Amino acid sequence: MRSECYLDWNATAPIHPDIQQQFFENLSRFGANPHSQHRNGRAAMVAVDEARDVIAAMVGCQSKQVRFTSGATEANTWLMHHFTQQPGVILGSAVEHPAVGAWVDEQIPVNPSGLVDLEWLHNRLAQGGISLLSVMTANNETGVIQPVEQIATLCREYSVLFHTDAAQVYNRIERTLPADFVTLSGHKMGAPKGVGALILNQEIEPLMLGGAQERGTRAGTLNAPAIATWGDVVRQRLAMSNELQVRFEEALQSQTSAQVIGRDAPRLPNTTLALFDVPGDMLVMALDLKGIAVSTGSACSSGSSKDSFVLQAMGLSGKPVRFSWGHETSLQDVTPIILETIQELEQACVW
Amino acid sequence: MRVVAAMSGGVDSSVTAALLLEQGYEVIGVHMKLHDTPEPGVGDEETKACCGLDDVADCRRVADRLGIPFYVMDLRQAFKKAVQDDFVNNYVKGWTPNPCIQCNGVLKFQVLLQRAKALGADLLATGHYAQITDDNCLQMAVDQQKDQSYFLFPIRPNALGKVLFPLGGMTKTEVREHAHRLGLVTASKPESQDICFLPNGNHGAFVEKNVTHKDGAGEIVDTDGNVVGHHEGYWRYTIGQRRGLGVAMGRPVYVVDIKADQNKVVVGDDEHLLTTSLVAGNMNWFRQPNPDEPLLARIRHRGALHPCTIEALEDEKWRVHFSAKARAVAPGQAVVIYSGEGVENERVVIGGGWIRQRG
Repeated sequence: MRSECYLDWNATAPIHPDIQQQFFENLSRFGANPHSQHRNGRAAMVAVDEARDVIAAMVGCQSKQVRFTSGATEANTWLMHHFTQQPGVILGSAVEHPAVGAWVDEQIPVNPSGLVDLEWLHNRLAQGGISLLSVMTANNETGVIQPVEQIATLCREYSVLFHTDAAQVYNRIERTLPADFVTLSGHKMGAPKGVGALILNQEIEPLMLGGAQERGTRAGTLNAPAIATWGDVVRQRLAMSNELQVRFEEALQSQTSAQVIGRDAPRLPNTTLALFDVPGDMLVMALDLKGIAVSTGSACSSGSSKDSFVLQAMGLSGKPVRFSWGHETSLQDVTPIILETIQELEQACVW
Repeated sequence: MRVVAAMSGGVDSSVTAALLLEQGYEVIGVHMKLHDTPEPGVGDEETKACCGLDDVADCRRVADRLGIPFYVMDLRQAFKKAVQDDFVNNYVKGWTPNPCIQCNGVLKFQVLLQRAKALGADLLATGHYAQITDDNCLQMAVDQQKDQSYFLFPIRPNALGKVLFPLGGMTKTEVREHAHRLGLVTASKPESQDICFLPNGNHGAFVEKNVTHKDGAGEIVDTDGNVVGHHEGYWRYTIGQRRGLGVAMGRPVYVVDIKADQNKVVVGDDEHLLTTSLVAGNMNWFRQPNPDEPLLARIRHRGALHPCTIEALEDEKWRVHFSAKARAVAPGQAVVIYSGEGVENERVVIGGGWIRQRG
């Protein structure tokens, strides 16, 4: 019972058939341990380092700064764990993904559009005592893009280290990230699950202890086939225009009770989070019955529907629906079904 | 025809979904998420309550096996308001609530029914053991050991036609056999028995957590008003309770009354528990009873069917007159009225309501 239209890219991006083919080949081509001296091992390590190069170019850093992990959560945990051992507090936005939010000592408030309060941040930085500042580049639920350049400038001014979780950024928008630490996810951009990276501007204590992989900072056999495939994805990535999003949101707002969240903020061109006069979980079910896959927001809350802390931080309440798509999604083709389904439920009863 | 099957994660609702599919319905499985009671971890004591994470996983596997869609519906807010708050309020009044019936009446056969309709379903099915006859009457299950008609009295008469109980004509043994035949993971799962939001069965602690202004300590008195002991909260007691009273009177005594306004628990002998009538309110009638019509009243799940007659009082209240004395009538519990006609196992529910007082 696979969905005919997949609009849940921010939970995980589907693997493109071409990439899937390459992954199958990479599984055997780069199946050896990249740290082995023999030719098979060397081939795997070269593939890893070539992926490292294209990922570094994508983010705007040097290749040696890229350290592969099992995913974005490990990258965040590694960094945050290091900074819990340092003097000072970890400051993070109120809308960080839980993989960062779980470590945050003090929250930076966001405005009703979901953007961090720069004035509050400025004042807080002036007070000092901060070991790390973490603000995500783009939010997974709302798609709101934070002013990371301005935040980076502020951090430099106060000599505070800056981390940004960029798991949701690439294959949606192109951006170089002026941060001391950057978190990346492979699967959110169409690579197989199980690979991510932490970009380091300075060395930190390892979290995974054991072998000397990744310059002695991250023990564990590198997942060479998946990393090489991630490299393939990065090479083929495309920029996205917001044309579809604009048309989709216009239709939603004119024909349904939609209230688009973060409407006034810069947002990812593939994400629309909206509140309707119908509980979001009901819309997810009704759309799934018609073969359209959407979600209520973050997929990370135990498979069920927890209330969105992101919405709460923005001063909103309710159960929203998140539509998130990619290059190959024919959003315009299913828009009429989506509108019809929402209207049906709006008329079904008083919720 | 599209039908929503309410799936708890147990064997009964699993087989319900399977049977409907065999009967040619288009089935959608729905699990109601009702509360945030923490899940037991590895090494924690197993609970017999339903509605947890493991249950969701089991539902999902059964639905996958059957090839039907499955969803978790978040109904925590409605459950808190209609069931948990009502549960606490009952105990505060000195009554003994029945949250499962309240959940059936509001969550399943109002809220879920409405949501099923919104999903384009014509019908709602549950794994209850009860039958709906061709002429739209709620009737006892074929398996008398499992009959749950007592729990279903609050279904609105106009909703009965939208409801299916596919297990009503089967025995529990048959249901389990069917589950095994289909290879459902829930086939050997034990029965759920506890109240789902009280996995350890401690209702007193739940009441205390939800009522801040209560200082529990009070007196236990005998029927003459003599102090015979002390209690830590009258809401911890239930009419008819014998164990755990902490009073030594040289003979078995029972809780015979709970005086919430005086913060007193009254204990007495078995005879003090006997009563010839009760008053009930908030009735749901499938048909109005006739005066002097010989009827049968059930005052607890699987309890005796007491021959009785019904008298209409003012303010939509009704008095049930028992032909012989009934024991341990507890305000807050349900009284369900069955037709006096028909054979033993084919009694029809003509209505039910909530016990307000004895006498």
